Amino acid sequence: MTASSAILLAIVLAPLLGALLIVAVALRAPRAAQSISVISCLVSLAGALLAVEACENGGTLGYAYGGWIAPFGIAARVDGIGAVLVALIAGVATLTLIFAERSLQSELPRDRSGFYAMALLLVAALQGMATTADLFNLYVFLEISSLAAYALIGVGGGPASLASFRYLIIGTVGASFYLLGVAYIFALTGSLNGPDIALALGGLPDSTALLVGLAFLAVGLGLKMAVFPLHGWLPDAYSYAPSTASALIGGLMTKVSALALLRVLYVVFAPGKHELLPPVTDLLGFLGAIGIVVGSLMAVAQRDFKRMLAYSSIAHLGFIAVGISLGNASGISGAVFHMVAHGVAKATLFLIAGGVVYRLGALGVDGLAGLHRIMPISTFALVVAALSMIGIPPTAGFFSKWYLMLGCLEAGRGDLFAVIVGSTVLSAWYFLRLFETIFFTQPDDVRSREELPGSMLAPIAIGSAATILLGIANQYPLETLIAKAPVLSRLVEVASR
Amino acid sequence: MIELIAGRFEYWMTGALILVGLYGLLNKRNLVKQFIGLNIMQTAIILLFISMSMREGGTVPILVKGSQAPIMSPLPHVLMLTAIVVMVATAGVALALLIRIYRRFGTLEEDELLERSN
Repeated sequence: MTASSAILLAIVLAPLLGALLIVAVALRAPRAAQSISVISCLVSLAGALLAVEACENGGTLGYAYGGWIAPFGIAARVDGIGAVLVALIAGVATLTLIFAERSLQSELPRDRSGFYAMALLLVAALQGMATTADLFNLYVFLEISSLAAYALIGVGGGPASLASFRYLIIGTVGASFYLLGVAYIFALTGSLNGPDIALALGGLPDSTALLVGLAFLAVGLGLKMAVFPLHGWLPDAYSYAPSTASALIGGLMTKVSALALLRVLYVVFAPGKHELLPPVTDLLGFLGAIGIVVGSLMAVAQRDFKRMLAYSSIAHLGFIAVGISLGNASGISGAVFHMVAHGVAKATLFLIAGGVVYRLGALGVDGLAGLHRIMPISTFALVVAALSMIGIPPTAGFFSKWYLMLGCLEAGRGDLFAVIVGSTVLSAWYFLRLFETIFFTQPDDVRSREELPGSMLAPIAIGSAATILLGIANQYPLETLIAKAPVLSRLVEVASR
Repeated sequence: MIELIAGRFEYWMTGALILVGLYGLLNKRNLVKQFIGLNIMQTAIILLFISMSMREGGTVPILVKGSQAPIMSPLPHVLMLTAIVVMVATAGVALALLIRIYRRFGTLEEDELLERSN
């Protein structure tokens, strides 16, 4: 076993073993659960950073599970894009789990080790999705992550179990459609390995069966990533879940499904070879644009902080869908960087929502009046993360939108460009309204300054610092990692032909 | 037309089963019935995979020296073993959630749930 393969194994296995360990010691040492979860996420993060280093300038990392070489065995493979996502997952998970203990004490007074075990299972499955190159393996990890997510949402109490059940029904339909798509591809090519399928498909003429398979794959993953009009499950699920769970699920899950869609569209279906790909991506871009508008408008209409964040997620997933649909290097780079920018900022905002619940117990937008007097540092972090959501320089959100708009212009899609610019106005509207409530509305009762405890404040501060750092140092992830990934260099090659 | 249906009987059957499942999901107002629809749909996909591995006169895929008998592809079976485990796990979580919903709202009918959750 070489060093490189150990990295990919550690990224996935550390949280998985951590989850098992928590269950094993839950009765004797329930207090150890959080430490175990944070430590295993840190191990995963260390592996992710090594993977990032190995994937600089177009490098890739590969590993064959059990020593069975692809296409016979299950292969794990990350390139620059995968490495960025792996680092995002490990980083956000670490921050969220450090934050979790205090926040859960108020939201889940009873035993919490089950929550940590589920959260680690979710992280392990997401890391598995981000690293696998095998379509069926992706399905299994997709379902593991979804099952963990249903449980994490369901513990929220009250209407959460109903929201979780609806999510389960829709999520399982999505996964079933995906599996049905895999069946078509498998029947046509006899393989489940992404690059291997691409080879086999290169020698096959486009057929109705291939189109149906692609459609099922795209609809299934579209449901999981909540592309309009398949987003119905998202607002309830995000707003009734415990804030820690919302940060994990809202920050990470949909992004990883988007990554899977990106891989299906541009790795499995090699660019420039399939006549049937453009109609599918055009439709994705169209739906993404509608999702941006609808999500932003719905976010403007919300009075509840977490619900507003949930609807804005739909809009931002629209951005990612548009970027993926453009099919040029700038658009896809923008989409991937937007996954990172939005993942970090949205997770931070959900953590702040958790902090507000912890301190004030209420979450209506009106209830946030005077927040800067009670929790000045958290409010500052909220403003920074919100600016990144709107897309103000020098935050990460600005640069991802910049690349997305660049991609729209390169593809000659003035209409999508206009939608992105227009939605920025809408998101500025609902976040600036939030700022107005916080800073300029007189609160009903005057409360003394009561900043969050350190274990909650530190993750929030790191998260919002990360949105600025990612923005300032955007050259490294965008140019060194994402743009050099083999998928994108192949796209550039095809386009220049 | 008859040949088209008879020659690809297994595909028409799985297609019909998937539609039955989807109908249950979309049209039933009871959460347990929706869940049953979901299960039918998942089972149909498993049947589709298994039917793909079928070969005329095929036997179990055990290599015997000198044997030339055609064998069935074992891969779909292995995949579906995993898919069945996933399906069972989903069923477990779904039923647990249904118990929680019933304890809290006292009903599993969609219409009444909508009334009571507001």
